[in-house]
Amino acid sequence: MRPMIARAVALGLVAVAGPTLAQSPPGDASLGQSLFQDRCGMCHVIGGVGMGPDLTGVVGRKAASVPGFNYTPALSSSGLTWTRANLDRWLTDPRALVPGTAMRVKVLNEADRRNLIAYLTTLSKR
Amino acid sequence: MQPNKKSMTGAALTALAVLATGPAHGQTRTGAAAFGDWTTDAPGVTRKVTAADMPAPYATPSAGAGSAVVDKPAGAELHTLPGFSVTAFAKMDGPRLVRVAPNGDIFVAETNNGRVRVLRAADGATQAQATETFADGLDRPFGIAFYPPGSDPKWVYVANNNSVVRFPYQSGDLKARGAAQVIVAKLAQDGRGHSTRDVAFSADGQKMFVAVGSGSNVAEEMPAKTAAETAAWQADHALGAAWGPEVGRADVRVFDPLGQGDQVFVAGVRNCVTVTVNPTTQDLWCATNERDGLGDNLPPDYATRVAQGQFFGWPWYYIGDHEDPRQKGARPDLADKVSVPDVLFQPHSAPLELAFYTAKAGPAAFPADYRGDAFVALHGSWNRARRTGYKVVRLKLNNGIPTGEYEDFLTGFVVDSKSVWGRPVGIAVAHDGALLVTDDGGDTLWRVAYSGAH
Repeated sequence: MRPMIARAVALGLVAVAGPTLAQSPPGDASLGQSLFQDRCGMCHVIGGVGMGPDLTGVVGRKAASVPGFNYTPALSSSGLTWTRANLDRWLTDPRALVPGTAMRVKVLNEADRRNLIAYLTTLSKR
Repeated sequence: MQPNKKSMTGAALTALAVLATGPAHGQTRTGAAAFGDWTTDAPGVTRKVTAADMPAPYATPSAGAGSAVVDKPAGAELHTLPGFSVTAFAKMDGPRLVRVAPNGDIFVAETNNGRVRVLRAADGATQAQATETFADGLDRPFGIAFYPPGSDPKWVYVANNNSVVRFPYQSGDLKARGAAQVIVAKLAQDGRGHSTRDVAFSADGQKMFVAVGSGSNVAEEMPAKTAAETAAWQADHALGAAWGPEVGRADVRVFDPLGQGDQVFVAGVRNCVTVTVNPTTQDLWCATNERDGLGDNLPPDYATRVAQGQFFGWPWYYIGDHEDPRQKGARPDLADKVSVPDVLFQPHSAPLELAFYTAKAGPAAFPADYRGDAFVALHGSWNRARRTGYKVVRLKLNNGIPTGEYEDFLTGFVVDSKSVWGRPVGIAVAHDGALLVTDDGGDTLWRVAYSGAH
């Protein structure tokens, strides 16, 4: 057994079907913020209008629920709630989760997704 | 090879989405009539927008009217001019920029999948016959260039979000024959803001041009400088070069083909999505996305020739001596030094790839009148109350000099005031003379062939 895995087992982090978000260590919101500025900020303006919807308060809210934003029918009828687990699936491949969404950006790295979600969690509704 | 008429009338015809219309052919919309929206789009409609047509900033509110992308509705069709036909050439996953190798192989950046794919088809074929992944594991690849210029390139250059790399290549390769070499390790201090990068070579192969869009809409986070600090900065930087987080951005940069000698070639081009050389004149061109937030009809996006040392205004000015109210008073020294671009598009059209029509022969070649003109894919607006773009237009050039007019060539992607079923991104001329158009809304590579009388 490689040391890193041994350590993970000792910490009780290894799941049978591989690590899931709930069992992962919490993300780093400040790394997530910088990643957000790099990868997301051109379309998603926090507290403002952009190509994508405002993500203030996104964690925990229903998908496609920012008033006035022109969502795709696909996302509007998805029935999703933006739990951390759903955000992780969404960021991994938005169109695999919601075929027909306009969201194109994929975040392929798991740690990046975790950090982004940690940042999004800080954007509580003002 | 001749076009396979039988297959065109067979299965492929079901994918044929053509309605030849063109009653407005020959008329040019100017002044206020050049603005409008998608409802006045149709093949043959020609527009000419000039700086004199621009309204004042904030004449209308800044809109948030992005399009919802939907599946192709029953009965929806693409429209082009009489004599042309459109087929779905290949289904892809988020196809963006497309460039054709000298041997006719079609290279497409699937940016969000981090890969470059290659498609192959015989001349005249209406559908791709083979698709391979040329390279993957890339960081949001967009620009593609073959080097050295000519019929036998040895390298394929790829512009990632924050680097330029190249792969060894021999004509006919469908997979990179070796690992990527890093040519420019870092293009900007971070990847924020505009994410596409493009790369092109001068005809003599001596210069490598790399377009790097701005990190922001209008340099909101660029620290202010005093007049003295500004003068000191300007004294040893290219005219209009930005600073702070915008260093090396909103620029076309020039390097040698090994990535040495980095210089700003032109500055103030907010987001030059395509940088390309006109093969007829060797002029360098940019297709540029201008800024948001000033209202529906401001400022026009543009395509233009660019020459070393020019400054196109961003962030302080737009379309010549028009000061951005958000940068008021910051750079009076630049007011009379701002170049006016050649071809202005309806504001917020979002011109992405630009390609020159060069085919002289081939089973799908366009009439001779098209030779030397350019096509531009307009990805479509979000910062405009009434939708515009979402179409492919032809730029008219006379002996390499643009007239400023552009003509709708391929329309029909818009469903209604809320939805579209496709978004054109990339444009290239295929080996057989057809025009290839990538669509990252409908995940399709379209092929437009001329089948009328030559």
